[in-house]
Amino acid sequence: MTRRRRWRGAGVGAAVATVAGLATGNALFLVLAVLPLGYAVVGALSGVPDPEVTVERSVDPARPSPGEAATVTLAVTNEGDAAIPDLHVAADPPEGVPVVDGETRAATALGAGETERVEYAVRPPRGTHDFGDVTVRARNLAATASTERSVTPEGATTLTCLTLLDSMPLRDQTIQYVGRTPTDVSGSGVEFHSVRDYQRGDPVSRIDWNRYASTGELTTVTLREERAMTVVFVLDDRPDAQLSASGYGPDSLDLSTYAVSRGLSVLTDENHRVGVTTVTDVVESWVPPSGATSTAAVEAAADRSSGRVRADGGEVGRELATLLPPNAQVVCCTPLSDDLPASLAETLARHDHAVSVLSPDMTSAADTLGAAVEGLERTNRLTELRRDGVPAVDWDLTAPLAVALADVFESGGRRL
Amino acid sequence: MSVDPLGEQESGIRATVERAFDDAVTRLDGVRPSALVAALAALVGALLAGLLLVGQSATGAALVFGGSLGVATYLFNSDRPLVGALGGVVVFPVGVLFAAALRHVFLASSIQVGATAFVTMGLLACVAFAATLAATRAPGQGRTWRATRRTGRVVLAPVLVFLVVVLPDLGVAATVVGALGAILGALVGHLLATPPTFAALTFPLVALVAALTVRRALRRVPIERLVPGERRDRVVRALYATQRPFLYVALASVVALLGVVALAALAASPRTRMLLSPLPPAAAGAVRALVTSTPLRLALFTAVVLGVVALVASWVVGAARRVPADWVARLLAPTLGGVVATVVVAQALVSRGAAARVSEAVGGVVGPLGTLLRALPPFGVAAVLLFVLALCATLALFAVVVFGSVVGSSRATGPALAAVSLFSLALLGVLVTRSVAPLTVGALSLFVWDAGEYAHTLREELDAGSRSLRAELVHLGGSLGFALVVAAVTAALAVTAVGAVATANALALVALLLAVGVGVALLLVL
Repeated sequence: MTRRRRWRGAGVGAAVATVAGLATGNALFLVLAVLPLGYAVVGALSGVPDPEVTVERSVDPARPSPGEAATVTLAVTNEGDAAIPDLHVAADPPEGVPVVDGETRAATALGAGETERVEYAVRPPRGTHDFGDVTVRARNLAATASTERSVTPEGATTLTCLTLLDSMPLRDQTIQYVGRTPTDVSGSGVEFHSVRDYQRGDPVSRIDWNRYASTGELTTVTLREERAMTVVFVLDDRPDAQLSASGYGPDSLDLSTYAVSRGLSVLTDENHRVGVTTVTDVVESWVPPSGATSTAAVEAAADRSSGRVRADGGEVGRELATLLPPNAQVVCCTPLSDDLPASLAETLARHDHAVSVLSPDMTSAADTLGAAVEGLERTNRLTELRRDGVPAVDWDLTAPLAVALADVFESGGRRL
Repeated sequence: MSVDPLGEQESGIRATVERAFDDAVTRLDGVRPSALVAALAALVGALLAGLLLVGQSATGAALVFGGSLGVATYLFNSDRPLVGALGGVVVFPVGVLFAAALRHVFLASSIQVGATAFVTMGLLACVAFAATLAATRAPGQGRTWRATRRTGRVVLAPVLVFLVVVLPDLGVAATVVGALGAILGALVGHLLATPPTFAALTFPLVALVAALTVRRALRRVPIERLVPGERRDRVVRALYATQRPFLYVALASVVALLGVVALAALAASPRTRMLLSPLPPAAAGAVRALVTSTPLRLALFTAVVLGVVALVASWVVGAARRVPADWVARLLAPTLGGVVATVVVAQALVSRGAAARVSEAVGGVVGPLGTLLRALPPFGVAAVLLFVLALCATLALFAVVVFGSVVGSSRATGPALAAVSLFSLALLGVLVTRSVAPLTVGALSLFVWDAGEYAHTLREELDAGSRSLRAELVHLGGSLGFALVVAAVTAALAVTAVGAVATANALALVALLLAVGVGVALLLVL
């Protein structure tokens, strides 16, 4: 309980009026002194509020995607028998989660049994975030005394931001295991490849009976063989290479991590062999074929980031090449804020590994001179990569990731 | 890829306008209804008090002047250089409104009436000033002082224009330098009490300036950085403790200055001999020795000079560390706005013949000032006129700063300024009119403080767009209801009991005094 002496000045006013009354013999001054004293006495005699409130918290959507806003609603109910003339509610959003709309604080008067809602929107980065307690402060009608409490809300206690992907651009470089990538080699599959003369032992179901009926030749239909691939995602996690858009929202590392985790999920579901590593900590790390563990693997890789300063893409490429199996291809997720990805791709190409680059565009959102310069440099790097034969996806953040990926398929990549 | 520069420009202007509109909407959205109600109540109270004390015309002039001071303060507290430059333009109309308000004081029939009108109009201006800024964070948190400093930079504008446009004429330059030297010499002589004609008036003024300068230097100059780290805390505490006596000296000087001005008004002369004549010979001798003491004056002057040098050095070092263009733009914007306004207005005054009429009007002024004014071309006279107007605005804002610091509430400065001014007007109204009507102003002053301070608290505790309407309505309803009850009770007291007290009933007077005493005791205890 806290008492505020907001009527101290009234005592001075009353004293001055009293002295003036005594000095001049004018009793109206004394009457005037009654005014501030009345306010002061009522303020001093006003009771201390004892709020009985409950708070319930809900989040919609419960598991937002990166960049997606979630609305947090606090329903504050006066469970007491008396009205609360002045109730302040202060929510405690998760640390590191920016509030993008609405207000986390409100003041209201609450009758007995009434409920007031406080709503605000947050745009969480990847991961799970804990909400704090809600602080409520009740004041009396004269605003001279207040009681403050910390209330643990019922309902949602955490906010989780999911990471999933539906497709990824990859180069035409498969391995000798069955998967879902169509190849130019005939074999088992579902897509038509060619027709050849019948050979002893061919399945009867593959014989082209229509041709046999019209020409009398016995031929066999061959299908395009589908094989698995080895894909290693390289996450550019260097702190000094990250870019962020103006205002709130995920930065380039959040978006890269998001893309990798979604790519991992899809690829592991399709029996591809997938690994994840980071620029600052190049290690061999293969992901088990399970969606949930794939996401955890990416987050673990991102969290494992050593924060080591690296500027030589050739060195990173050489370290990575020693760990990669033959025919493994690399997808580098980077904001392209410097030339490291280009030299990394060049080094890996010399070691016969195909490289694709996925780059979230953080520069077009802001209209500052610095962002414009950064955007020009990034465009130049994209152009140089494409000129060197590296499929580079310019991921415009205003479009879904899948739409941006369509560009790379036309420029040499293959869709799974 | 081709770029359309015109299109880029249009989109830039559109974006700027949209940002300004969004900014305005955000600011309006952040305004608390309690603050607006408090401002409205303050203006109603000021209007009532003004009509009772100085009449319709003077009340209007004072309120408009106070409002214009508020607008200037708001503009000068913007971080946008363009808005700061606009403030530099607005300073001159503020000076004109100050002169228009002051005219009512000089038209008073006697010194007593003039003094009452001066105090009343000053208080009315303070109420209007606070009411104008009710929806903003000003005048608290040093914002009025910031506006005063920036208005001070506008004073430089007419001086700069004068130097560039008028002084190249060598004849005029020689006259100006001679006249200014004579004026400054006379001024410094009086401030050093040589001759001691106005020593009683100048001594509290010099003491006030010295105390404020030294206190500010102690606060702003990072003296603790000159000592080793382990002793810094002790030095900071010592510096903090040293500031307080200077504040007391400053407040005592203000009180002494007001007393001397009041005595001068009563004696109809500011001369030391006339002011000290009512005192007993021994006391008069002691006071004369104090106010005419040359070593003491020199010590005060030295303190002022040292304080100013330290402040300027500290400012220059700080400025050298923060040289970004936007800081420089903010620094120069008021002066540049003032320069533009000076050139335009002075040219207009010259072309319309107003400056020539001013030259004729001041033709009779004797002494170095008269020599100076007669030597100036019309454009120079116009520049001097604008300099005086800007100086008036600066002094008015400085007076608000001083009054605000006397009022005491550094947190809710605006509501405190309005409420204290209104309550003072109520006291003045009771003193002058001896009627019940000023009690209404007194009741309104308390409501203004209640609503304004509550709005200020909400602004501190909530974010700009947070909802609070329901809580505010409940609080305002309770406060207004209580104000009506208290006003009714006091009115009944005034009509019934006071009539008897005023004539003979000493018992009722004692009863009232007891009631007030019990109230004060309750206030202190609870």
